[in-house]
Amino acid sequence: MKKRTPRVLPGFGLTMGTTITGLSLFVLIPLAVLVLRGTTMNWQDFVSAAFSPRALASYKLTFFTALAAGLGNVVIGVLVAWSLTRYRFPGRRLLDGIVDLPFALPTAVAGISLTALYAKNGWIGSLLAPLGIRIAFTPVGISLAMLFVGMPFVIRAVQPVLEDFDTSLEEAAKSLGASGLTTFRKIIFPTLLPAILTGFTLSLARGLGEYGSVIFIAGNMPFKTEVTSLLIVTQLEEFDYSGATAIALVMLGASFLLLFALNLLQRIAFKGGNGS
Amino acid sequence: MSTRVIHLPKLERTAITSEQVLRVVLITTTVIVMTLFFIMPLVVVFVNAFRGGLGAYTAALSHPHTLAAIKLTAIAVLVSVPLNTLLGLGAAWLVTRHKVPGRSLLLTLIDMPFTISPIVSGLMFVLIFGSHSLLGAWLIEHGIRIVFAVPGIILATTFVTFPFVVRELIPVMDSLGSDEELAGVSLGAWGWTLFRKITLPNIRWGLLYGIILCTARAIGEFGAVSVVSGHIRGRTNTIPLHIEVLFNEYQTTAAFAVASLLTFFALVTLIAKEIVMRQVHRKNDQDSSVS
Amino acid sequence: MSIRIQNISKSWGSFQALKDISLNVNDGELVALLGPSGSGKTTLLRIVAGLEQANTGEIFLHDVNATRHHVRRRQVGFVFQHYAVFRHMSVFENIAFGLRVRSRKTRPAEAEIERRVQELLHLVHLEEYAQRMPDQLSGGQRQRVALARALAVEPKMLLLDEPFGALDARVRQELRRWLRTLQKELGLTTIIVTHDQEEAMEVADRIVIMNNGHLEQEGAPEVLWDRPGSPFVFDFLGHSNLLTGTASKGLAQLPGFVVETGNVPEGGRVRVGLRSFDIKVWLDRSSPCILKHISPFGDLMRLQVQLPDRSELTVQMPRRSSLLRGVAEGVNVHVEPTRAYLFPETAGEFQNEVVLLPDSRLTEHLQHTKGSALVES
Repeated sequence: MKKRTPRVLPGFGLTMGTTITGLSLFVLIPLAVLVLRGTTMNWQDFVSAAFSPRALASYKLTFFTALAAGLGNVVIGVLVAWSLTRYRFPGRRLLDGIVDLPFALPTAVAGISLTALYAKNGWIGSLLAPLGIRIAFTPVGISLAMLFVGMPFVIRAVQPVLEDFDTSLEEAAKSLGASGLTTFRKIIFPTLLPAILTGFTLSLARGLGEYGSVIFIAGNMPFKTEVTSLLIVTQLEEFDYSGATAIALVMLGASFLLLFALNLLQRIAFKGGNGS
Repeated sequence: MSTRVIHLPKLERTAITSEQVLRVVLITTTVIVMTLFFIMPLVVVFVNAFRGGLGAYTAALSHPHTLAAIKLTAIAVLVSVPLNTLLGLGAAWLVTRHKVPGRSLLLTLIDMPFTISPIVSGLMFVLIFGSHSLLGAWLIEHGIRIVFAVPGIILATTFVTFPFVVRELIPVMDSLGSDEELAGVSLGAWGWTLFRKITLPNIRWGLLYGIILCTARAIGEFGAVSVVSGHIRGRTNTIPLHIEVLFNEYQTTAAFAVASLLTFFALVTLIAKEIVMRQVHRKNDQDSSVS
Repeated sequence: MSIRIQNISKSWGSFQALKDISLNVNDGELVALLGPSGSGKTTLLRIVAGLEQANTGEIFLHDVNATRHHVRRRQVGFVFQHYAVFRHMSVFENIAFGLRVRSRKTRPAEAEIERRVQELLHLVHLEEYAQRMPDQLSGGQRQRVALARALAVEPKMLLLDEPFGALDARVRQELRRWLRTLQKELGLTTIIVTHDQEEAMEVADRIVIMNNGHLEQEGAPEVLWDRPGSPFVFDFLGHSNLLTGTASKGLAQLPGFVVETGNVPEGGRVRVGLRSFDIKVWLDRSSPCILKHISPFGDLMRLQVQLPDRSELTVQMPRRSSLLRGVAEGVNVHVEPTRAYLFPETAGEFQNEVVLLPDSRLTEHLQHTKGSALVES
């Protein structure tokens, strides 16, 4: 009988064991329980809970605010990443360090400080109120909070690409007569696209699931300013576990779809654009 | 001898190029955006925290409920961070130093807590351990409360912070490559000796940063903990939950006072990241400077 | 320690890296595995070391079947392509590593370790660098640290994976000569992987040429040079030209000139290998070959001759050769090979035949041109 040769590096057995155990305990089993709970419900109840008018309103609200935030992050993110990578100006390093603030700051703190800023009597809210612009307790406020927490995704995704970008390509284009805009459109942008898409999708995913930074500024009125994650919490507080599970499964499905779409997009973008 | 007067041609003012305009516009916009979205929220926290003066600030922080919240948060951190560090080291070693079939599946699973909503995370634990589930009912019969009690909070915190150390370690260990470990093995090293003497010194900055991120997230986790908590002040409120309570009761100054603690820690995290990045870059430059 | 490699095959998925390789390395011998990238030479080396496992075949180390032995059991000294020097340890600690990680039973006393490391530092000429960190060393110095580190554990064989690949030409030359001397002194069985044929020729007792997972040919450097077994081996060693022609009445018609084909069967295809210094050219207005480029190189003249089919021939001649009188870029030149390596094609395979061509035409030409009596070599 041939004895199996041990692996060259040690630790396979141990690390496989701990990793599988850890994953099972903390990821697989919880997910399984959630899905199981959902399947034990009868179909009618599931649909009526998952697609109730209130739930649908929350999906619409959550999706569109997250989408707006994602798009906003793309614009702002590329802009900021560009300035931070390409230009030198006083305070650049400080700003670069602060980009990660939304990652590091607890969502509750973000929530209350954004609310304090944009409420009617807040520093910014008070400036906008006379113009009739309300931010807090409206979908705009929700989008704003999602914008905040999602901003580092795009910036940090685009920065490395810009940093590694071969400027000789740009110079070649310019020497051949291309204008700045054309150069950007045809040479720089295609290279950035995969990174932008990644950042956008991550920002979107984050926005969809966001709770802490949103609930303070949102107002939380059912059908009007109630995000899906809050709806789940409300169901739980009313002990409607089935209802909460149904909506949570919808959310889970959406995140998986998003992840899948992200993978697909990246593959297409890589195949299509990157000959540079 | 006569002096000759030399006329120099007048310096022509170069036209302001569109590039220069663009540069100014972009930089200004960036500064405005960053100030608006990043710096102002920071300022708001501290201004509001100290609005009532130093006395009110310390009173808010030394309130029994605040202290209880700090204690609970500390417990959650002290359990979840070391555990996730060990698990993270193991997972990173497995993925980067061994051929694992289904590596991408493994990575997706590891990333799960990072990608799903914290509310859903919390819900999962309620479903497993809540009094309405088989397991939960059985545990309660035996006097063990998980949900709406401290163990649940620890579990939820461990779950959401699970990926942080791994995600930092994997790119570091991938880019280092396994040559040094293989060299060590060929010279006779094995097991912990190999890890301690060769791997650990090489990954220490990435590991440290992962631990810091993990800790920051553990301290600040809100959604998942909120679901499993029960919100019993003085007993099952972590610092972020306590902030929510204070804010909703219009104790704004106190809420911001406690929030300033977390903000301070967030700034420490950012500074730590800078330091780690600088160490890493210094190392990279040294490695590539000599052929 | 002798090494016997028997029928080793290795594939990664659908890619076959090694196809049934068998090879012997004698005790104390220095064998070079030479070949282009992707030929499988590094894979073979790592299998001998135990860093990879073959799919089929066996490895015998000093007549013991070591195929299933873990690398730690094989007592190898392995030097990696990129040195793999432990970046967080000093030179001293690097070299002492293998001794320090031994179990309590087999570990020498610290004083003994110190002594051995000093010895090795002296051997590799790095005595003053003992406390330096790797990032303070040059590539060549790091390589020497890697070597000393491997030698510290008194291995039974030394395996080097492209050890000088990343270094400057001059450092490479110095180090390879130093390695050769060292190896002879220690009498350590050594296998070195390289893609540099000059390096292999200079250091190895025996060269093994690999291509696409196959063993093309093995033998002493002179043997491979004088008797290349295939066009691939011929082409891999030395500056050479390879052409194809058909044998007809004892001659192979090549673009612009002919070559005698000796025993090659009539009508058969034959590959003709010509080393650049085995060709002479001279001014000849009736020749269809044109001199494209000529440049001096030390004592030699390097010429590029364009043949009628637009392919080019590289020729090397002594700079002062009288044959070159009147030869300049753009003129027509006659091409006269003095030695040819013939590889007749039979059933898809090439055999080799080395044909020394008669000097007759050369002498004839010299007599014809009433040039000075410079004798051609």
